[in-house]
Amino acid sequence: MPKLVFLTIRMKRGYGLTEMVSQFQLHLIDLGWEVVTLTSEKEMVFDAPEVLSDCLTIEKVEEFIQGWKPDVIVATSSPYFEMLPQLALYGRTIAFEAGDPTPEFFTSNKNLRKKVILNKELSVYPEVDKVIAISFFLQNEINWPESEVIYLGCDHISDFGVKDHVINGGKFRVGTLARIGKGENDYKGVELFVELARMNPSMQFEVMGYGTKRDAMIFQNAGLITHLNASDSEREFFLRNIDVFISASKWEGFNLPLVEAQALGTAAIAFDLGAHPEVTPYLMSSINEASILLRHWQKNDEALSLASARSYSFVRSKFNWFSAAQELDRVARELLSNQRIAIFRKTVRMNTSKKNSAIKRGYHALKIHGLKYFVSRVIQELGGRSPYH
Amino acid sequence: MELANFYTGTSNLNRSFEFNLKSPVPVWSSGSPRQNEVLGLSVIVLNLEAPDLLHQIYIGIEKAQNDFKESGYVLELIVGDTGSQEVEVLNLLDLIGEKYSVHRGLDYHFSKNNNYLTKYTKTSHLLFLNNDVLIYKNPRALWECFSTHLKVEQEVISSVNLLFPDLSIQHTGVDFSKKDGMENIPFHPHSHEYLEVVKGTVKYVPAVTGAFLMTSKMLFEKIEGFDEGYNKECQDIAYCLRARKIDVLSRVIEVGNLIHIENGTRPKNDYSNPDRKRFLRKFSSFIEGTLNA
Repeated sequence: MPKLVFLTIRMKRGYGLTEMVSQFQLHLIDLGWEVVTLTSEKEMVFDAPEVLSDCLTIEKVEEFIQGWKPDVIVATSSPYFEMLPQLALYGRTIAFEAGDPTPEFFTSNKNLRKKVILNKELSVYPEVDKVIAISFFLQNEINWPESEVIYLGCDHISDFGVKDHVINGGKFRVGTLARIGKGENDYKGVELFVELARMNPSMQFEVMGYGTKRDAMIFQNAGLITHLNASDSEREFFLRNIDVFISASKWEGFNLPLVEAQALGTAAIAFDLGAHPEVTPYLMSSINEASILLRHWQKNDEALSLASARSYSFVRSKFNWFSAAQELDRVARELLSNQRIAIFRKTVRMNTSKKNSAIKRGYHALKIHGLKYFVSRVIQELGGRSPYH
Repeated sequence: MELANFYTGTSNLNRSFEFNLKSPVPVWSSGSPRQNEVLGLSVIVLNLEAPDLLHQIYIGIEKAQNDFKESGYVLELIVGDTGSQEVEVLNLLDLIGEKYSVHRGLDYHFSKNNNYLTKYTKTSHLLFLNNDVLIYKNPRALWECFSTHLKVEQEVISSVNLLFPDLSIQHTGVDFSKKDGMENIPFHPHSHEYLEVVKGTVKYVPAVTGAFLMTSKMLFEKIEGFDEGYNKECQDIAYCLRARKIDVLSRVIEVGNLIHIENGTRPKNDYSNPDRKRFLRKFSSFIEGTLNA
């Protein structure tokens, strides 16, 4: 039985990566893999023998891998991406990218974020056997055309079918779900959501999210209803019972909550940003367009019911965890059967000089950034000094 | 065109600037009567040189006037010239300008020009018309389409069947490809086929051509006109699909033979990849999730 290890920063509720790793682990086992997840921290709900926490350092990860001997090593987040080149000695390596929001969206840590992204482009992707992106948007965003796209699934969400009727007799409820807090607010489009609420006073705008009471103040001050740190069942109840879900986010590698809302039979709209063009039929080009559509649905039960049913069918037919796991299974087995990779890895092991490594990275830099950048990069590497490390 | 190509050459960060709130556009409010607006049709035509085509538009509008007047509606012509220099055209623009509205010196851009010209219209309805649709041969087509358009209570977008000079079909609505590698690309079904359609027949279609696109001004303003992000193509189809999101349907009316000398206004095969990418990015999921579901 082939063995696969996931390396992911945390296993905690409210994080899309956690859901992703859990689902892949579950379905890959069905597909004949032995799977273990290494993480730095986990909640009790993920307390299983196959999920090991406190594995944040390369020494701990390496120690486990040397003992367990996985065939395939899949990293889904930093700092594990950055460990993959070193771990390539022990098995096939996959960087499974959920992406990094554009640094310019943040008011703090901008340069650090840029450095992390650039480092992956120059020192991680060229050194791993495969890069996988969770959307075509992300494939373009990470600037790695050789990557493959594997969509996430939505069938971890309960299937209540389409809504037979618009549930709420009272106020028209518009909701969103996201992690909230200073860092997240920078790119989650909080100001757009609040503005939509201001433009549509006859509707009830609600926010559900993981965060503190202090984080929720920005919404409460704007007159919005907030639901903090809900359980999975409360989250599903919320997503099913609001009339429309909106994601105002300006960057999403996939946007699991947007897809989950649709999987629960709720029409969902998002702006033409991030991976949204791939995950909702109702893509908005402006805040006014969003407002007009909300008003249309508020006045027309039949139109909203039809849109909700279409959204449900759209995501349920397109995003499926077993299909996603089958894709990862295919990629992993192809890597295992590819002898050239094994020979290449041996070659890399034999020639681990700084010079060869620089040329290898330089080749990718040439493809991506052009000749001028390539030349300066090789000079820096050969000179033993790089501004990026 | 693969999904991955939707995004190439575009910047998510740059797109996000379109959503900043520094200068939000006032939201359209329904039902407010417009000052100085009269019931009728404003025909908006862009022109560059092509005196014969411009002349036939003028003649066609003149011939169609009676049908509108008899029923108490106004028919006006708005011409936007995008840089003609031929004396014959300039003289013709002077002649048209004596009776109708003429705007010279525009830089050709379908969306920007038409959005701009719409501000000079005085009527309740708009017809965006290519100058190579030969209305002088069938001027009654304007009234047939307009009167049929008015018969439905709900908002619709109307167009007509258009024919090539050999009387085969040029336009009978726009559909979206399901072929591998061409998914969701707009195309003209039945192109070059010979179809017999009974006059007055109305057919609902996914979208219609901008060569003959009739809409109420209220809808046009509500959805903020043509998307100026398109430079050469797809803006007409995008208009129809943006309207369709709020359940405004597009339809084609049979009004008798109406010839469209396709590519009279744009060179043949003058495709724009950026426009197609923009269109596919914005509408692929909508087409898959609603029209082709």
